[in-house]
Amino acid sequence: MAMSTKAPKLATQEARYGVNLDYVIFPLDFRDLRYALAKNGYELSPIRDLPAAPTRISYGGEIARTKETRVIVDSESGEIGVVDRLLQEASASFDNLAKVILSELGVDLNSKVKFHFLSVHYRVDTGKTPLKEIPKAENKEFVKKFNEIMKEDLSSFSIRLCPKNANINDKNWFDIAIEPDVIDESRYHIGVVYRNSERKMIEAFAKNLESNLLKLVEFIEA
Amino acid sequence: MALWDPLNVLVPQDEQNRIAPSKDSSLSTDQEAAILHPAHFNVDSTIEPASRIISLDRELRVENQLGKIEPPEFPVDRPWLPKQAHEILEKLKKGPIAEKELITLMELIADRAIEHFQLKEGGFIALTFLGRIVEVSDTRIGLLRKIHGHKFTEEIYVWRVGFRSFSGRL
Repeated sequence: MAMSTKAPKLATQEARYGVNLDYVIFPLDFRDLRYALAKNGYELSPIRDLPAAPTRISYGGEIARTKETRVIVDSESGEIGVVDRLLQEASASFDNLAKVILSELGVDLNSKVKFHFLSVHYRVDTGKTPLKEIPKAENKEFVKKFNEIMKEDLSSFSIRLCPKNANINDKNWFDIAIEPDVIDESRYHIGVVYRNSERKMIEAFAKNLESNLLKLVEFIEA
Repeated sequence: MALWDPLNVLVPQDEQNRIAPSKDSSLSTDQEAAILHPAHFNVDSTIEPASRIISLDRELRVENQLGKIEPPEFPVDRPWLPKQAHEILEKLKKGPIAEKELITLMELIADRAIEHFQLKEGGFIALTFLGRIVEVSDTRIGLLRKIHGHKFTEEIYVWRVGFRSFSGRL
């Protein structure tokens, strides 16, 4: 089969990196957190009518940003993390955030952690058409049967990968979706969610993630 | 295989504004789509669920019945600015500032705007003192043509991406 001479290009759309804390009561007061972040150069998201202390409030969403990094928190689920342009930047930005919170508020984001997570969305351009390439990985027998059932000529739209025999609701989980980008069908969209109770596992997964994703796409297209 | 598509569930507009699901990044891409889309964003139900299609409707501010505070997302049309830029902007509000300080401010804002909007080197941009880009062109003449005759509500200046000099102030 003729191979495309175009080198695959992988561009990150968004990368999230953070932790889900294992506390009954979320340990970061909204007002204290905002003050600590503002003191350290973060721009705060505008909030009106913030109740005075000691009223305990729940909060969620983008609460601050610095450069291209946005801080995301959900006090009800116990999540705190960052959104960045690149996965490596997100990891470094999370470490900076953890330093600020530890020094200003005494809460260690690397202890009492239910799980660490990363969530990344990529666009990949290989010069080929994903809608034509993705069906190469489909099970022909199943598709033949699907055709009969639906009375249509069908093909696979996406490839989804997850750990074998894992529970989707487990702390240790990942999900990789490879599909055509719905905005531009000449490119792939690859979405990745990974969570694990150990930070080192996240780091190890992230280290080779992008090169591994390109290898997956190259293998599909081979 | 589940053929039910969560995106096809119709949620009344007022219901959408009341529901305030969290952006739980630990969810699978399907879970993300199922939970995020109906409440937070305008969703095209014809798209498949694993993609993340986010509308640019930044006006949605959610205050649910539980009293949870959900800050609005940061505006995408202006970058984060460093403390020094804010300090000079404050001085500028009070009166004229030294030219050197003004140039520093323009550099700070232009640097952040170029990073934020990922602009290509060599192009010309017209931007505000909050870092909003009002026009872009490959040439200075092209840019001047675009902004000629326009009345801007904020003061703007022209900058060449990747260069350390400004071209004019309107």
